[in-house]
Amino acid sequence: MRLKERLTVNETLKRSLRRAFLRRLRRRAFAAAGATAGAAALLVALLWSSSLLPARWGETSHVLAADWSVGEMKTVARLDRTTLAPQGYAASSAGLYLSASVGGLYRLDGARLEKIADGAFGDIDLSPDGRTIVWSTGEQLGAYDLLTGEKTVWLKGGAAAPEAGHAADGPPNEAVYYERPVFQDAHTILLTRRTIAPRETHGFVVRASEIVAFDIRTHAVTVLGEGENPAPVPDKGGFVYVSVAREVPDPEEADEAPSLRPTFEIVYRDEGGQEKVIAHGKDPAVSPDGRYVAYVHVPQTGSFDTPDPPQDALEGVWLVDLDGRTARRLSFNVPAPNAIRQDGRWTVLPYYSYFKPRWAEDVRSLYVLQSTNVDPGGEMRLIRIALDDRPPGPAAVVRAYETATLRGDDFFALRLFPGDQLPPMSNPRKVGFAVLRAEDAPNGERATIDVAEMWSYTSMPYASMVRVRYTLGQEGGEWRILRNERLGEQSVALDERFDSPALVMVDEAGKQTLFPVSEAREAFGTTDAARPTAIAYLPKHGEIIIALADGGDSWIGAYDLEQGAFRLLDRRKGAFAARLLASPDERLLAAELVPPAGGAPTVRVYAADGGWSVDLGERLNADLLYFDEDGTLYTQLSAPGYRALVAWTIDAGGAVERRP
Amino acid sequence: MSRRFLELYDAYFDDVYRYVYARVGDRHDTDDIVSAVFEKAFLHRRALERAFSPKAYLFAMARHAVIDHYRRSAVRAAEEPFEPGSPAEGRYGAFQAPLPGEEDDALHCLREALLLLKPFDRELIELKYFADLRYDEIAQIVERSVSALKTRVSRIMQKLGAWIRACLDEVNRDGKAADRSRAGAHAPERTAHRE
Repeated sequence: MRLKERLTVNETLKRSLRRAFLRRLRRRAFAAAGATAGAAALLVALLWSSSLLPARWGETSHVLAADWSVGEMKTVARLDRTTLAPQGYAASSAGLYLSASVGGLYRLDGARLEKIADGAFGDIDLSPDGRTIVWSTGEQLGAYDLLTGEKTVWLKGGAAAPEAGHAADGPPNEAVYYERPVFQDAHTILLTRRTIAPRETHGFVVRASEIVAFDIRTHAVTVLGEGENPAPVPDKGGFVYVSVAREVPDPEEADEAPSLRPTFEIVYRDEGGQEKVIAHGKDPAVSPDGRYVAYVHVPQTGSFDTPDPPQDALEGVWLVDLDGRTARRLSFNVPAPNAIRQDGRWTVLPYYSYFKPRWAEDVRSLYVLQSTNVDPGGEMRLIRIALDDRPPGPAAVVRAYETATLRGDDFFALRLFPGDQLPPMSNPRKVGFAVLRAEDAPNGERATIDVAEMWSYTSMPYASMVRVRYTLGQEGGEWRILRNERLGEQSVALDERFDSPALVMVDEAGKQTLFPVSEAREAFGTTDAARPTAIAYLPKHGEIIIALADGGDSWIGAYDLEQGAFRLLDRRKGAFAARLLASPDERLLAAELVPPAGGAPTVRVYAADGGWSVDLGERLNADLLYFDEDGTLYTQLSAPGYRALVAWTIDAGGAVERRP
Repeated sequence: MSRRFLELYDAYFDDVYRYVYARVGDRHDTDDIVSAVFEKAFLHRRALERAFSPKAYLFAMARHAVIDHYRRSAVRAAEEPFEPGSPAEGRYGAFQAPLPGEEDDALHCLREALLLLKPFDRELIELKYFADLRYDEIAQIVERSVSALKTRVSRIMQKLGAWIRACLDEVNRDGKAADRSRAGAHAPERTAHRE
């Protein structure tokens, strides 16, 4: 008997699972056969036309594109445009592969970015088995083996390509370029092949843009037709591609350059070669189940009779059914502030630009790149959009909005609360929230949600709890925040007007002195020169947490508002607490500790009862530090070229788990 | 109807089950994880059927499912020092009784030696000898090169051999099966290993 056979298998489970799969396969086969029957097709068509079938049948596989909701949009990584702006990327279960436009292939796994290889990779895609990266730099098409690290060139383009310069009527110096390769199956790659020729004066002209299939085994290239940016359709066969119509210059004005605003049509070509225009846009990506196409909607015009054109007229990420039946916008955009008025019309640029949607492994989430048109030298964000087949309720919308503002995901916060003035990502900053009261409402009515928001300053002793009421209404079947109002505020701050500075609490009832700083110095045994550097307020516990510092020495302690008593939580050397924050359940405290001579801060977490404390042990960018509602602490990892959020789960005993 | 999926199911169910069982050590958790793995495989059966190595694809799913299981249960047995009563103790405890004529001590020493390996090394042995995967398939799952894996597995086997021989020597010397504390005496101290 072999070693492995000594471990027994659950034969009952094996048989029952097999039976279940067999039943499901039979059902699907039966359904497929039925669908081909003329009578069934007629019946379905009849039902559709008479609107007897509901738009949603309860299974995600039957949800129309227009019926999906956006559950969450969040920044996965912020990439420096000059060093790490991805020219291409591909999603897999092992993480995301990115190819930087300045060279280098990277793998992003959670908050970890690892360089895999040097050199230019350009556009990339990942093979179905996750082993091979196909890349195209324009002049070359090739593969990179993720196991062996071997980089292979399959096709060489440029001016030396055999296809170049053969057009009888073409000018000399034609060159061939390969772009946007994507795996159709394990052996076939679809890509765009462009043939370009230099203009006599300047620039170049695209003489041909073709979609070709490349066979990995034989290196045979088959031309499938005109177009660009193909995306194969899993299961159903065929592919989606972009057809570009560039405006032809008026013959009377032949010297003028062609229009810079071409028309982009997204076309689905089925296995039989039948074509249908399903949307206007670019960068199509077909979902893993072959039912939907995510794409970047490109408006037909950038000129409007208003400086604030409607959402659908701005660039954004959209979802459309493969057959083009329904479509919906997933992202949100606002006009950039530099609209130009000319001849009574406004030329408006969108604030956000979106590029290259890519589906994750399942149909419920996709990635997209985003940059802003007001900060061209800044960061490019890689965003993950999670789809939900039922719209989130009012409380979920408010939670998502609060989280988006904590994370700095303005694009999502604006989607949930259009017209909001977003809180600044500087001082004071929101560092946590908790929903106090949620009142769901029937469809068509308003809902109100009350929230407690925690705010604090960096390097200034100030903490406040603000109670906010959100009013929500429905728009297009989804809840949106209509307005928010401040119900009240309780803040704790340092009052330095007296000879002896004191901590004061300010609320609707007025200002109340809590204790002089000298009492805290005495209770904690600090030097006389120690000054408060940070405060946290724990309203449920009735405690103030205060940090004092003198040079490189710091003390962190609690003050019981009812008893008027102090207790020391920690004494540290070589760092002062620039910020203190408490989890919404007031179980945990986090202190951002900064070396007095400068340098990257660290974060130390304390049990609020003083039972333990633990150092997260990682140098951090302190721009972002917050607790979510369930007590998970988020910090921002700042590495050369990129920033990403790291989540820390801390249990009751102080055991820390870093996610991801 | 996709018969291919059922063919793959029939071909690899036992290996996936044994691999998960070896890693988790609990029958009920194994049943749950294996069910989830094949459920996911069913949903992604097109990709599974098209993969260069469907077996490697399947085991990559199983590996991630086991990791998720540890994350969820916060057991992290693979990274924790072995203590009596810890989840790691359940590993390989499911070995069947020895066949007639087979030495019980040998099995005992093998189990002890396996538990002494670093988590990653133990996983390689599990993938190679419990899951019956080829080196190129393992390389695809753990994202290492084939040559590096061959070298590493060869070293692991030498280490295992030495530990088992030492364990058996002691057993023979004492005339009874070495208990765990003795087995630990001729091997590196069990500590938390991180790859």
